[in-house]
Amino acid sequence: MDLLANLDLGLAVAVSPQNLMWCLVGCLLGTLIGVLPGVGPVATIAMLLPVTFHLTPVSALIMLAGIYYGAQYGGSTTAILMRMPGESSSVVTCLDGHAMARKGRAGAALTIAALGSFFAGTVATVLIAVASPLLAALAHQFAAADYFALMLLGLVGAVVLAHGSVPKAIAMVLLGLLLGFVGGDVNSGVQRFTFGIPELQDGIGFVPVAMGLFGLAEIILNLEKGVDVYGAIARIGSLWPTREEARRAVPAVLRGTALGSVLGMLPGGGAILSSFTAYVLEKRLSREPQRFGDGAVEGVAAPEAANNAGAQTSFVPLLTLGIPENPVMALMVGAMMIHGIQPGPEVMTKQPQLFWGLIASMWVGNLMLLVINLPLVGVWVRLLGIPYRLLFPVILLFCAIGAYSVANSGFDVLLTAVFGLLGYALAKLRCEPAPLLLAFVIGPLMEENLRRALLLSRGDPSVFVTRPISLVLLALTAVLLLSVALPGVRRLRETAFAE
Amino acid sequence: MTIEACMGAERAVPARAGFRASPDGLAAALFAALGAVALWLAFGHALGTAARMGPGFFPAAVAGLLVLASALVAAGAWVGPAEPVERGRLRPLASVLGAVLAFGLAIDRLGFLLSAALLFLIAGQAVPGTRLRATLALAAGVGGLTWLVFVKLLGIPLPTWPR
Repeated sequence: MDLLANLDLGLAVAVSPQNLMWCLVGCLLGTLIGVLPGVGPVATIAMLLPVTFHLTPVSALIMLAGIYYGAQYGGSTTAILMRMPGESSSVVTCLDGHAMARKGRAGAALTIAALGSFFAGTVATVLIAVASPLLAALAHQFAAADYFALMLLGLVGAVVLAHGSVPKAIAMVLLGLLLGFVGGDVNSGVQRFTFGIPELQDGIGFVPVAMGLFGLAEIILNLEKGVDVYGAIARIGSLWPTREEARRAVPAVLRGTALGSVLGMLPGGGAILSSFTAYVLEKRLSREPQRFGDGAVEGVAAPEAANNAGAQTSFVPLLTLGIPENPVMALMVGAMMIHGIQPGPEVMTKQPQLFWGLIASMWVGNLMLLVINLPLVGVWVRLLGIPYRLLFPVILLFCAIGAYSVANSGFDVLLTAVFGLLGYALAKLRCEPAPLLLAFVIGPLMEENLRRALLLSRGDPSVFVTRPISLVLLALTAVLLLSVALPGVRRLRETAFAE
Repeated sequence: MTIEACMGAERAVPARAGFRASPDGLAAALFAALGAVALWLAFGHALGTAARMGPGFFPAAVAGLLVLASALVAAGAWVGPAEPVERGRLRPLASVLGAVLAFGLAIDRLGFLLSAALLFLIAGQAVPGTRLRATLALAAGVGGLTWLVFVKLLGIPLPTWPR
């Protein structure tokens, strides 16, 4: 009963007063930014990374993780009550969630979303506990060539799952890789792409990149649209679902949880992909698809369960293989490195308290979120009364403080502004920034493993196809890349992203 | 976007007006330019051999691929429908970026409190009709509170006063 012993160890870590408090802080912050449109988990985690310097590593990771899955809860609140997704992973919840609200069933929609998320979070926690040791055991077999193939698969996954055009997403990945090369070369010490700027010698920090692309660009775009005071808020009404609503919701939650758990673990996956796919699946399976968009309970239950499950299981590749699969996980890599932890299969064996503590804290956090969200929903809604023109300078200040305090460097703040400009330009050119950030983090690791693999094979590239693990991963990569060209998959992509 | 879909779309949007108008065309130009610069810089470093790669090898490969990818994007823009690039507005862009730049330039010399005030003053310009008094009140209130939380409570080493 290793699993129970491990979870017991983790729970002991997670419920220590200090970790309990940071978990609560993370969940509260997550709910807050989830409720507020225009502030996402990527920018928030980037802002708060420097704060975690002063925490123990396990408290730091518990808090940052809480922000990510907390945002999944908070995002649904605004989606249901105002038809405005607080998070991009709640976009589909707007459709049927707000339709329910218009029929006076907002309270029931909120309850179903929260309970569905809680159920999904619980299942995902157990799944992470079961799957991680298996994957970590596999990861111990990995050589440099296999890691390179795995990273390639991850990047191609990010391309295929990005919104919009595939060639643009490929270009964004390549641009991200190039940004990752800036600074001293690990092997030779040669300065690359630094333009003689001394501050760039250690490379570009991921906080300025993430905050500029996701934080500043978003603020500028919001101001351009002229959003100031948010729209009308639907009345919440009774929180209890009717028997009929519950009967429809339960199987949808189960399907959403299963789908989200699997999609969360795939390269490029996570909360957003899970919620979109779950919605499309429910609509396909339904005997009355015309009810969707008009307040179908399943259209709330399944995506909300799926996005929470996906948010949590996306930790699996990070914790076992050391490879981030979405921008939030890329920042978690950064958080671990700040504390001197190299993400990978060793974390579980060398720091079991950190590993199992983090996993157990997710379940504890989900329990907290249920309380934070259901009875207190009115409090969160009131926050939306703050006009954006007062809110955005505060967010800007936090961004600036965050960028400065990573290395006490004013240069990093300037760099954040530069990436804000890049992010804005890319948004105008309809280029999705997620693949860029992912490639930026993976890039240096990828080069290192490529070099090592070819050094060991004495320059023979066949090492990538003679090792079975690498061969399978490269074959998967090829299938994924070719699948985009298939008309069926292409249509599915288009419908999924159109809705 | 399939060819059929483009033909369908052609009725709705005016005829293709070349690269200038479309986001894809501009994106292709941006990627090509960045790729070319990176390629040129990468060739300035030793390429080495496959077994002993020099610092220029992988960057050169990636930069070369970026140039190729930009050609693909350009091809897509050529056959795709002409969508205009969504127009931007200078005011929010300049004030948001200006506020952050000012903070970055000022923080080491003027300290946190004055830099934060500067950030609020410039950011306030993003929305027309923002009153100076409201901005200053916000700067004093939020600036003071953040200083208390970040510097005093969390112990983040931000310089407080000018030096």
